[in-house]
Amino acid sequence: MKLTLLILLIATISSVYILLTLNKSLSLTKNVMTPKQYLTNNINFKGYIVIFEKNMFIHDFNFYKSVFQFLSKDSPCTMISIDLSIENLDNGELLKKLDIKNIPSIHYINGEGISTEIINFINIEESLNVNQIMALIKRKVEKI
Amino acid sequence: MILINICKILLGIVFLKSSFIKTKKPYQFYKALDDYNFLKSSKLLIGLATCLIVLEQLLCIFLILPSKPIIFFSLGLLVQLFYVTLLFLNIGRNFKDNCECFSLNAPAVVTGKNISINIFLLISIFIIYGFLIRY
Repeated sequence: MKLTLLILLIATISSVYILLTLNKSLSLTKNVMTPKQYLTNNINFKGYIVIFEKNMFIHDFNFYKSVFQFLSKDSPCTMISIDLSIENLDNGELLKKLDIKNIPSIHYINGEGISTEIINFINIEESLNVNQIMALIKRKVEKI
Repeated sequence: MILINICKILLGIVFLKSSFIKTKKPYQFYKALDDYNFLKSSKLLIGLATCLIVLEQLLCIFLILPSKPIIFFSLGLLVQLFYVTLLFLNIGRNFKDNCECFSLNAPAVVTGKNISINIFLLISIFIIYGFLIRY
């Protein structure tokens, strides 16, 4: 009887934890926009944008989740998912408008719409782990 | 009996590893299941993904704790039959929204090898726990 109760308790705690994590992740993905959505809805956006390739998002989800949670503490944060496998005019327009040269990268958009690259993940050493990259992002953000 | 216990531990390691990855990446697991496109309702899919992860965790616990083998037998068969059916229905298909982290139960490309491994696990549960229930 005690064993059954213990197993039920573990199952309940685990279910609640997974449900909460899953719902949190799903609500985070609502902040992911396509270039078209960003260009239409965020004319006077001020804050951070995290831009990445659509295909890589699911692979690096936990990393982008940590980045988003960290950046949104400080200022509004939006994630833009670019599909480079198809030719799209909006992709080019967004890259030109925000002066984006590297994908994936993090940019800060000030009140006048001027974009500053905080960090791009292309130049980061492959040997760095997630915590080290997060520390690097924190340092770069503090400089701005 | 020693051989059965060794097999039990090996089976436990397989489930422990699988459930650990799924607990760490529940969103990716949800997306992998979503990509298989067998449930239209997202709420049901959230429930199913949660349920599958918890069931695998329970399977590991049953291997550690001295419990009635019939519970593990039933849970194990249920979980493995689900995965085998799911993989059979999607054999040869390639999934884009898959992080390729669940090669055992929800691979990005479903091959005969994936199904064979899952059938092997199903048979292992059947033999090991069938033996424990009988003797």
